[in-house]
Amino acid sequence: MKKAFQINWQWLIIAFLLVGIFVNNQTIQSLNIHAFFSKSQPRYQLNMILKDSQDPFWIQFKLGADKAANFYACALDTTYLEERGQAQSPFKISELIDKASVSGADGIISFIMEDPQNAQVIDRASQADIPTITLENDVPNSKRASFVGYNAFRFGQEAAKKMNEALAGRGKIAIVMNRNEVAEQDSQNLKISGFLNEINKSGNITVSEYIVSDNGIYGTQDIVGKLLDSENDIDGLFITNSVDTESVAQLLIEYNKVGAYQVVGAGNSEQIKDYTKKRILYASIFVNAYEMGYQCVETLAKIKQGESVPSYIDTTIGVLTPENLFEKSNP
Amino acid sequence: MNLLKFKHLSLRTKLLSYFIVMTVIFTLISGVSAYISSNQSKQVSGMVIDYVFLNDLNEGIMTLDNDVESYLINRSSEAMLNYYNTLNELTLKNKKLDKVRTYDESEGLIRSISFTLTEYIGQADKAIEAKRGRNTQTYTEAYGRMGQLSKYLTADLNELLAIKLKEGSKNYNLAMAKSEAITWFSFFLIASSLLVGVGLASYMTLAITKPLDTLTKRAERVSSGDFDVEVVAIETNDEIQILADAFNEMLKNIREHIDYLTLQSELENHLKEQMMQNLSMKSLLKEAELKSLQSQINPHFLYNTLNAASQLSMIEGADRTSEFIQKIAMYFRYMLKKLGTNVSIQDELDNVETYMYILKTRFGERISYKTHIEKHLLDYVIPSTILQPIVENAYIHGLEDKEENGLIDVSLREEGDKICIQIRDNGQGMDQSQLSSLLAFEKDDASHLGKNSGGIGVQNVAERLKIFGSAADYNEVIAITSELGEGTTVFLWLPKVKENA
Repeated sequence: MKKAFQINWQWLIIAFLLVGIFVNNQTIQSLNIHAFFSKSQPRYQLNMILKDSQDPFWIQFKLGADKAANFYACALDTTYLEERGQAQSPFKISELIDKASVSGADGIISFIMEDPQNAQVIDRASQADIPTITLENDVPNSKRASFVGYNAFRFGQEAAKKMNEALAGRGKIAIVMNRNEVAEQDSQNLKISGFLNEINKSGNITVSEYIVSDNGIYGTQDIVGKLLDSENDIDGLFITNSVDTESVAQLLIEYNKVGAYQVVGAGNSEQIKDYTKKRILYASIFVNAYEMGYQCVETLAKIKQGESVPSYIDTTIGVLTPENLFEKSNP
Repeated sequence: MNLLKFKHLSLRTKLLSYFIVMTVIFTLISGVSAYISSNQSKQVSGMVIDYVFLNDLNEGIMTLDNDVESYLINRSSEAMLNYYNTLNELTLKNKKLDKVRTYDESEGLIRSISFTLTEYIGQADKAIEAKRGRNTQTYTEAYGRMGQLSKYLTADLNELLAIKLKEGSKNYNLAMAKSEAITWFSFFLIASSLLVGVGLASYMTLAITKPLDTLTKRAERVSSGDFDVEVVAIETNDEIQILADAFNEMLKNIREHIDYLTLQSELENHLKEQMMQNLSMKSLLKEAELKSLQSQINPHFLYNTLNAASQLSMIEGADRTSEFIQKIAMYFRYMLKKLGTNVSIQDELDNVETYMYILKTRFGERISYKTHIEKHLLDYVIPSTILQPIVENAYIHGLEDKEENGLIDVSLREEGDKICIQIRDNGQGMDQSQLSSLLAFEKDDASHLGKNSGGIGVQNVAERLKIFGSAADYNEVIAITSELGEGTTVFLWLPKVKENA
């Protein structure tokens, strides 16, 4: 009987502590005590207005912007105009810029669509010492601090070159764009102009159709689906944005039309890379969105630090082909 | 916790530690429970306060808009008063909003609302002032701007409310999960405190009662007379150890006392034994003396008479007769005077020689007497009248019937730390049964076999030698060998005792 009372107290206490640590760990996790440790205060509060929260281009852009914001200790308040092509914000671009300028932002990065009020609100922000960086489309007659974009004309030219190569200089093509892109007049027009300028050099490729969706990607899928399902003499498709490029590639698979059309798309998302590798897309023209996002925040941070920045920052245009993708994966 | 150190605390400190530890544990449990409850309550009330505040803010904006509109339309002092009241309330609310830059989404929205609200209030003021100054264009523009800003504020407030609702929903789920975790945590706390309490109580009880139990059992054994209990080994370094040490000291003292009493008792016994031996010796001597007196009827008279006869014989020229009578007189004198004392071996041998002279004179040359003496032994002491009875026995029982060549041979030699006296005769000897009877000293009835005709028996000699030599057994002082027709030899062993010792 006596032996039963001879307990090894040290081991008993250790066992207690282990159980205690386990239970407490569970409790601490559920109490979210780590929330007590927050980041320090940011140096700048920046407002960023982007186009589409689901567009791979803008997703990449945001990643680049976040990286720079982290580096320059900036807080980024982001507003998206659309989600999958559907209107997300009740405000126009000019209103969003105006809203940002009265909300205590230290700087504004804004995607620009055609709006006569843009210059006015940008100027008002500038008067309040809030620099604005315009994206994709410039507002040249405003006091915007800088324009970060790409040469849309050359973008169109690069697409035409690949189309010409794909069709061997002969055939009929359709150009796919969506309603919002139409609203982005400047950039859109320059893309199409560049494409037509280059494609006309071949002499034997004609643009027989312009497919314009007015209902986001669902509208595009509907119109392009009907096209694929019908008897037509189209040989190639030039798609001007990344969302529609992914959508059309998926349609080609669904309609079993892979190879029936030579497709030159836009964007460099993982999905687009995959479609290109599988030769569903002949090529895809892309702007380095990550770099663009990084440059925007970096430029704004430099302006706030009193550094001078160029008024136009050109972002590189690249071309995705199955060949260069394989080269990258098998160096 | 170093239990070894705890073991060496005093009893009072141990008990005090136990109560303090238990009090601290229960206070901690209560404190943690109170903190958790308070935290939960704060979170819930915080959520409600947020909703109420945002709702009030939204209503305030709408009220200000109405007040400004009302003033712009009718320019009444009541509208003005309402406007200022609402403006003050809204300004106060705005001051509560944090304008610090932040990474947090909802805090960012609050910051945005605060800045926009400042602008909104500014525009409202501008509109009112313009109205008072009858500047139609300005107040129209300002009021229009207010409308635009109001849209921004509403959008931000709605978004913030949506975020707060989302956060609230998330917090609710978290609170539910927390509640479960807290329940488990509380259960663990209660269970562990119970176990720790029971464990500590058991440990404390055992730590105190175990040594006490050991001490009690030992004390019971001692009280029942068992002083051979082991020493109580208790190293608690507290009052119990002091008690145990005192017990051990007491036990040691009792044992020492008992040892002392035992020693005294042994000494007394030894003393009594010696006294008994002395009494026995006295008794034997008295017996020997009695025998001597019995055989000599009136020894003093006889001794005086023999002396007179010796002198008469000398006067008459009978020298041999005179010498013979003289020897007889010496013999009797020795027997009378020396009995009961210790004498030197030399004296004892001289007496034997006197005795042998008498025998030779009586019986002529048929008995011869020889000695082999190691002379350095002659000064050692021997009880008187030891050898003569043996020699007498040798003559009476061994040589009396021998016609010629009878021999009594006495030799004295050293054997280790003892002196051996050997008396040998070549008489008729004894068979085994006679020898056994002779050696049966302890049986009183058998002693007659060892007696000579009127002298001292072998048993008497053996008894006195045993006492003199402090021997445990007769075999250590006397031995007899005999063979029928060959003779008998008696061995006597004495301790080496000098006369002065």
